[in-house]
Amino acid sequence: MRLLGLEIKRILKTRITWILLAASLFLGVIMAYLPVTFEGAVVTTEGGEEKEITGLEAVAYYQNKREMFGEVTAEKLQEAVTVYQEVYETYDSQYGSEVPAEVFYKKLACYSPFIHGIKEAFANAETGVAPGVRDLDVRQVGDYYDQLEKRLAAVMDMEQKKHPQAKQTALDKFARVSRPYRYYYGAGGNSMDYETLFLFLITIFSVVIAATIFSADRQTGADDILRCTRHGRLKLAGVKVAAAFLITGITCLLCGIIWILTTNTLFGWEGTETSMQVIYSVTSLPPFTVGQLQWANLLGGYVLFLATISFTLFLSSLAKDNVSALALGLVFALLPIIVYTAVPGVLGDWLSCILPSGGIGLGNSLLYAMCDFSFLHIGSASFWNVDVLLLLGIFKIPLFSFLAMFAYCKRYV
Amino acid sequence: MELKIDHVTKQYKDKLAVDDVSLTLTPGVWGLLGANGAGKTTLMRMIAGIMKPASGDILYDNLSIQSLQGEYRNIFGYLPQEFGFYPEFTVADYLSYVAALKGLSRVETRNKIDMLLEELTLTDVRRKKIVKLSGGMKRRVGIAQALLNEPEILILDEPTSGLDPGERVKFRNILSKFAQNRIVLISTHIVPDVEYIANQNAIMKEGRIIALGTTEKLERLVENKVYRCTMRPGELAKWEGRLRIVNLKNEEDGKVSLRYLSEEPVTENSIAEAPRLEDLYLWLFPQEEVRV
Repeated sequence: MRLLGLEIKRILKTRITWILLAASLFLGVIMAYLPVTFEGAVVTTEGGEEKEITGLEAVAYYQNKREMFGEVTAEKLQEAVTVYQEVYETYDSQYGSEVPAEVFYKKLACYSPFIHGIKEAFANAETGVAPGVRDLDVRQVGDYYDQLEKRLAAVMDMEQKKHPQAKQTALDKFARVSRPYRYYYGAGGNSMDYETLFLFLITIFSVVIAATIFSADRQTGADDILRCTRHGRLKLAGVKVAAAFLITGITCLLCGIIWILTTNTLFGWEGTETSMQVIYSVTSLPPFTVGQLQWANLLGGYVLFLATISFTLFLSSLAKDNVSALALGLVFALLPIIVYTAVPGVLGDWLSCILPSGGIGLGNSLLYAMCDFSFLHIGSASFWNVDVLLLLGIFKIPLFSFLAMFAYCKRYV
Repeated sequence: MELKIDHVTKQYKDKLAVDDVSLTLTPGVWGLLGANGAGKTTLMRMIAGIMKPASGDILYDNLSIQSLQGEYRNIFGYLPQEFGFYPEFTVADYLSYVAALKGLSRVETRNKIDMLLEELTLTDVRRKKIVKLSGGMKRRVGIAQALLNEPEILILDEPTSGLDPGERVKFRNILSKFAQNRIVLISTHIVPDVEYIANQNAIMKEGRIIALGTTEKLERLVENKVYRCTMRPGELAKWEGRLRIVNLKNEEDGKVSLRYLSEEPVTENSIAEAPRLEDLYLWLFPQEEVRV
């Protein structure tokens, strides 16, 4: 424990570590606040004037528009479609662009979170094309919750045609999603994107810290003395790995918690009760509310984060100097993003999961995987990408940590 | 107690750095002399266990240091040629860190650090960052860390580089006191560092031990090969390329006095001188300059 304390003290004494830890903390707050700036509404003042409000003022406005809060019943959805159709017909609009802003905010804004989902639920089973608002059948919308499983089956038929087990797995998972959905105004998709971006940036910062844990010893020559001491091999390697995990891990978790607390304090905690299916696909597989999704994204991302850090430590134990350790660490941390963009299809999906920092990124993130219906297949067995990412992540943490310690102990010139 | 280097060889790509070296170290101060590139550092790194011999073994009391691992490192102290340290550490932080790695308790650490800082005149800089210290002070911090665990085997690679003459004398005295019942191996190409304190010396050249023995025994190898003479400055140019001149001194009478190495005296006024270890060193390494 004493050695661990001294090692942590040593790492924390480097200026770059402090700068990055402070930046992480700052990001935790700023990344929670930025989505607030996207909020906006047009309101009519007591004097009858129209006024545009933004930021926290807009958040407060939406928090008071409570007509649709609570259970998202079929009746509420029918009401939403009816009002939308009336307004669209008044302005002879198909997609809403002809509807004046003040009318939208006055009449439609409180229904808008549901309209996209209703159209998605009643999309054409063969083409996947969603109907326009005016094409929706209000009576049919009454069967909204019965329609969801049919919709999911159609999606799986389109995306996983040759893999019936994937379809069955998806339907089984969706069966656990609690219905009717619930809705309260709060942090939405923008915030979740920022949580993902925030986790990605913290990972990059932590890679910079972890990359030099072993390589700095070798670069400075401190290594020669340390390795000649009684505890200078396995114990020191273990202490270095533990210290790196503690510093980066606690920072990531702490900043993630700060992000969640700040986000929900700004947008309102009520919003955490909203079903994630209201803000993402209506057939999303995780049985989460938005609040649970925030934690799942943080904790799941945390597993992938630790896997990335453990691999960076392994690279550090092999590298002869800080620059190569840092360069390799960053390349491997960014590799899943490059693979996601450059390698299409099954190979890309597999690589995105298998790579040491799989799931770290933006488009290739765990959040997007949770909102997606991608499966990986071995023979006739199919596995949801999210499950594979997390299982491999849990496996990678001890594997690369052990390899880092092993490489450090067995290193001979 | 003995440390046996048993037919140890180490090869880098195209260079044989250590070539079948065998040496048995017993308690006392040992000097390992040799020019740069002679293989001293490679041999020391193998003794320190941070480099693996290509063949041969190093045995501590007949047990391979590879199998002893932590037990061996527990009685070992090492100062490498390049003293590497964490730039963010102060002197006290660094010594505490190394002490913890050496398994010293908190109390032992505090006492030992206080004592060593005092002995090596580093007390005033204990809260200073090592990176901000002078070369000599850094070297003394390096020596302090090597002595923290009172090692039975102490290996010092060029320990006095960067130390001023006063510091070197003080260091030699500390080491002489410390070396009782311990094996201390000092690698250097600064001959006077070991001349007066080493019980035994080994001289390395091109990866091999070419001479071994006490200072007196080694000095005898150049007996009748060390001469002194005087000449006019104008004559000096004639001899400079032909003689191994150990020392040149301007005399008060306008002449120069030469101490040189040769199989035979080269001038009529040459008189034989008592050999010193550095004479042998220069005899064996003719390209090296004398360092005092």
